[in-house]
Amino acid sequence: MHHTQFSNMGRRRFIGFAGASLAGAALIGCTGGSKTSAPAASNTSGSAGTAAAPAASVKPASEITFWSAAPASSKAVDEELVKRFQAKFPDIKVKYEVQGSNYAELSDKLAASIAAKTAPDVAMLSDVWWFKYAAAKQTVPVDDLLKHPLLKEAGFDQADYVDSLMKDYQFNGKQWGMPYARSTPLFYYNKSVWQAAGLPDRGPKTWSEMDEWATKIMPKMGAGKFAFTNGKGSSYIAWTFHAVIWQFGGHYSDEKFNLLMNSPEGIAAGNYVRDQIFKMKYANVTSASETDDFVAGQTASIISSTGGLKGILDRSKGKFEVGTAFLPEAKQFGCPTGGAGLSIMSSSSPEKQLAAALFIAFATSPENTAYYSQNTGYMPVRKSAATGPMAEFFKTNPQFKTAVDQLAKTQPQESARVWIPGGDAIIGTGLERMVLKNEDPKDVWPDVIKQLEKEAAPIKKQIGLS
Amino acid sequence: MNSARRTGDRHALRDYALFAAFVAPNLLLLLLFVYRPLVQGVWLSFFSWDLISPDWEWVGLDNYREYLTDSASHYILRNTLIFSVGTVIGSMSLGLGLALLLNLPLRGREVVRTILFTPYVISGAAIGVVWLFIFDPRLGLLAALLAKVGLPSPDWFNDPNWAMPMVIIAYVWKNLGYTVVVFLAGLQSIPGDLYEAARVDGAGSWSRLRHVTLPMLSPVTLFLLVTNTLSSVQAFDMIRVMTQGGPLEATKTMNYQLYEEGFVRFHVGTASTIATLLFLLLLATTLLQLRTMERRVHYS
Repeated sequence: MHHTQFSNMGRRRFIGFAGASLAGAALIGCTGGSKTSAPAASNTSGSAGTAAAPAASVKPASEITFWSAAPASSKAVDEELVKRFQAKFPDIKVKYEVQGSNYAELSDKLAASIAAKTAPDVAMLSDVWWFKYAAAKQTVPVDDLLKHPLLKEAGFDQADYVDSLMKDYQFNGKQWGMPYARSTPLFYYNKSVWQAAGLPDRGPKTWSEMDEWATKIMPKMGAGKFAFTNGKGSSYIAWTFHAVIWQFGGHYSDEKFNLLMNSPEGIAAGNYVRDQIFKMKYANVTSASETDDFVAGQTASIISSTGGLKGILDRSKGKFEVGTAFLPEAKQFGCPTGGAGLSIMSSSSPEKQLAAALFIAFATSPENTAYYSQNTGYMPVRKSAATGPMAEFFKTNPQFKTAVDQLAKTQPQESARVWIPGGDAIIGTGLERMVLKNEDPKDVWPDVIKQLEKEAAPIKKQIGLS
Repeated sequence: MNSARRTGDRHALRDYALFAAFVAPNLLLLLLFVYRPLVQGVWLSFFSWDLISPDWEWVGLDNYREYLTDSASHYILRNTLIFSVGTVIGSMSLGLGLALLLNLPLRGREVVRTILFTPYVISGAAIGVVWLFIFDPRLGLLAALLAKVGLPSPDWFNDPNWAMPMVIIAYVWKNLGYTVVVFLAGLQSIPGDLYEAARVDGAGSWSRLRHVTLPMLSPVTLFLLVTNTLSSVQAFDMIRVMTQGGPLEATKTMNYQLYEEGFVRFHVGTASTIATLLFLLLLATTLLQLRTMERRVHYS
């Protein structure tokens, strides 16, 4: 009896303890690291605020760490660039680390590393992430670093970088990162379907042309298949729709964080995308990936990142020929840039920052950016690459040329999506209401604006805008 | 008498020292890595902080006030409850059924047990990717199977009403092995003579299940109820991979929101507020489960 009583208590306690400890784990798992290391953040940023450009006497450090998210399976391509750098600069060792499988994961780890004082020297930060780190003074402007005599010696030429790609990383008159894995949306179409529908071998010049073509494409597609497929609401559509809102003459926002989507143009753009799906019924929203749908022949055309170009070409080989084209126009042309750049962390010493700048300049030289571009589909970030090392490649890969030609007409994205932390998802959820639930943009945009305003307040305060 | 007591004291003291020596290392680690961050997490919920800059601001209970009055939070709380209730009921009922089946003297049951347990030890992110393919309404495995019997696939990813069942199914599948194994252990510790006696008394198989198996399993059932509830609320990896909380935030649970507030929107205060509320919610749920269920639990 006594024994059973004892084991009874034991079990109860055991269950109670298991309960308490698991409940606690939820709390710890999520907030554990942050506070512990908060003082570290204050140390690093103290030096960041006062960090001046390295004098000509500063020598580059002997080792730097480079964090990449290796987008579009580009690990081997990154590694080749590091290898080339080591051959040219054997005294500066680059520790290459893939941190996370996408830009968001890299940012998660970077935030944690800043707190833990283990931040790298060079970090890949995408369009929607770099601004927050710059605002919090965790990255440094690269302007002065790029003026160091060593860079001139290495043949660095800032004027040769594609303007719209540079502008994306500018704020307060400073350059907060250099373009690296940069992409733009591109129109992809299935040439076999185009041919069967009796269409000319090119993309639609305007959306009304697409609407007309769709009536010829749909009969060739079969039940449950579409003439055009949109990207996923949660992660993509706010980027491709950036192009559409511009094409209709509207804007997400301006540089002062004024939110402008609820304009007649913004409403017309939203209504158009809705109509493609619910009225004209030739478009849908992908379930998992619009590129998968396209390659599997479930859709005749998509707007998707140039970063996936190589993958799409490889996977459609033997099935059908892929055509690429500029985005269709409405009132005008509109196309954002996207993808990621490389930033230098403020916690690094001036010597490491200089070595980092040398590495970034080297990795984006005309030859190297051409190599990177050809093996991934990201855009060559140097103007001279298109006429020089890319020229031969274009002959056998005409799809790449379209993307690079379009690049000259792109614009940097607006603050609502890329400067407000979480802005991308807020706009994306609003767009989901239009393209999944057929809600009127007139009802959706005010809600989106309300949420964006709330999220904009702290970052505006941080950069001294309010 | 006196000296006897002193010897007893000395014994007690020595026992106590031994006890302390044994538990100290563990206790120290627990304090350092479990309780200290737990307390700090609660502390952070009273601040406004962006995770990466040195600027902290004391905001008192503002984070709580804001969170609790936001209508979005109520929707997310509702999602959390649906997900937890769905996964707990799913895992427990399927788990019990499979455990009963695997407790029968069938050939090859060891192999089946191993297969069933495997998903539990595979990373949730990897499993999420596999289920992404299975559920894809155009290209997926499930759509192909449904097409064979002439059924259309639900639009799992784009229909807010189907997305939650989808993540629940995937999550139950991943964690079923754990529930089965614990139930099996419980079944195997039930003494065979109880069944003998029941049979002698003329109890059929349903009666034996109802009056012998289930009561004898009740401690294990309570244990599983508590641990399954707790782990369901902490689900993150599969939601991150499969839906990112979408479509239209239909699969956004409190734990996912916590990640988003902390690492995407850079509101550590709000994230810590959610963590603290989640902690209190789980504590209350666990106590309630123990209180209300324990009376019905039959310990042998």
